Amino acid sequence: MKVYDDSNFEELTGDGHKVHAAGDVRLLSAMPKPAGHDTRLYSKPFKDGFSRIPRSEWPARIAEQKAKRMRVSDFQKFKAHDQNGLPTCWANGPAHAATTLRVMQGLPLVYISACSLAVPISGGHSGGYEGEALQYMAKNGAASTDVWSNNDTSRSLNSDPKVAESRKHHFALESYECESFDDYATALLLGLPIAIAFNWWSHVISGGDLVQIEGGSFGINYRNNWSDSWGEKNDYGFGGYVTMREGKGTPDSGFALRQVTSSPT
Amino acid sequence: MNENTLRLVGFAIVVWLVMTGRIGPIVGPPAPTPDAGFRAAILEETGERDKLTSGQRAAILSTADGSVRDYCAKHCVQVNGAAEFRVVDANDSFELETETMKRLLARPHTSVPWIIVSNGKTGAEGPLPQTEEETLALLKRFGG
Repeated sequence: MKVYDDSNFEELTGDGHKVHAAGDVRLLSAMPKPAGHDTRLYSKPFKDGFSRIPRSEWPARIAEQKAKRMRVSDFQKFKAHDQNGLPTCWANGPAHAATTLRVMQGLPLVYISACSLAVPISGGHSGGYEGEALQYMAKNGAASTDVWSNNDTSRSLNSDPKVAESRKHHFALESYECESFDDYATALLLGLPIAIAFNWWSHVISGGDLVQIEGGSFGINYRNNWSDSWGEKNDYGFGGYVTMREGKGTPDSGFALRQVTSSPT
Repeated sequence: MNENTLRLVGFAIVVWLVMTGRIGPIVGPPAPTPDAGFRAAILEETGERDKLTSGQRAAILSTADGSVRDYCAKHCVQVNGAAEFRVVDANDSFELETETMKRLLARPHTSVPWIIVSNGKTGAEGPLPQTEEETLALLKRFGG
């Protein structure tokens, strides 16, 4: 397991990972929370819904999750989202977390379309804040990729009756805004997928699994939105994963998703 | 103490035993729902997952071979490529669920986590057992 931290994080921001497209840093499109954006309109503070699990319990909990295959990644027996050159990471992270949560609720695998969230907000050609995508999913629902391809930026799709129908089945019903590494760690130990942003990377991805890197040092195994061929693979051969140590790997913002619409379609 | 008082006390004790998980789910017949085929659901309050026993957490989240999810994936009725097995928050709306799951998830519950198991002829519903093994035994009793 390769771990990224202060010593090597620049490997993730360089051309080695093909983050540049046509001369622009198009894949790195996370924006900070816009002024006036009220996260309380669609999420609750994590501390209001959950008690933080003490760090002293983390090693045993991590071992239990791994042994019994209870990690978020154990539910991801499907390919990663792929923003494929579009500046829509901020919608792909929440879309992948919602896709994962559906499976965790026992629902059939249905990919949530990132562009069904990004295009109505920004047209799909500019950066954004992950909370905007989550807010849109909470208020309007998201479409599945069978009616709105993940990277289709056609605005006309938003008035397609099939899209309107699909949105009814894919609401983010409850989510929690996290404030610290301990919040994210607790969420993951409780089996809640997260969508998170790193300011240093200008990027939004999803997660993941809490991991112990060495005694007393923890990190999170995240999943990127740069196709299944990027990064490391999970235990089932599906890719997109990257492990980051607490510190560089502590998100600057993000949410834990608790419930999406219980619908089989 | 008259007969009515005794009955009331007895009923209260049974309710307390069920709600605190001291006795397991109440077993049918009748089945929780009349729909043919094996189905199961666990109703929970996600915010209280940390208060669950290790066995209950495993019943809810484990995907390992031989786990509750693995058993249900192999034995429950399949719809749209997935088993009719759900792990959902008890407070949510299920109006967009399949008609069969709607009926299962609409069953009353008096505490969480709560399990409902039905094969259309018989089944069980009540507090989720304390251990993964007990939950599996309950499922196998009705799912074959």
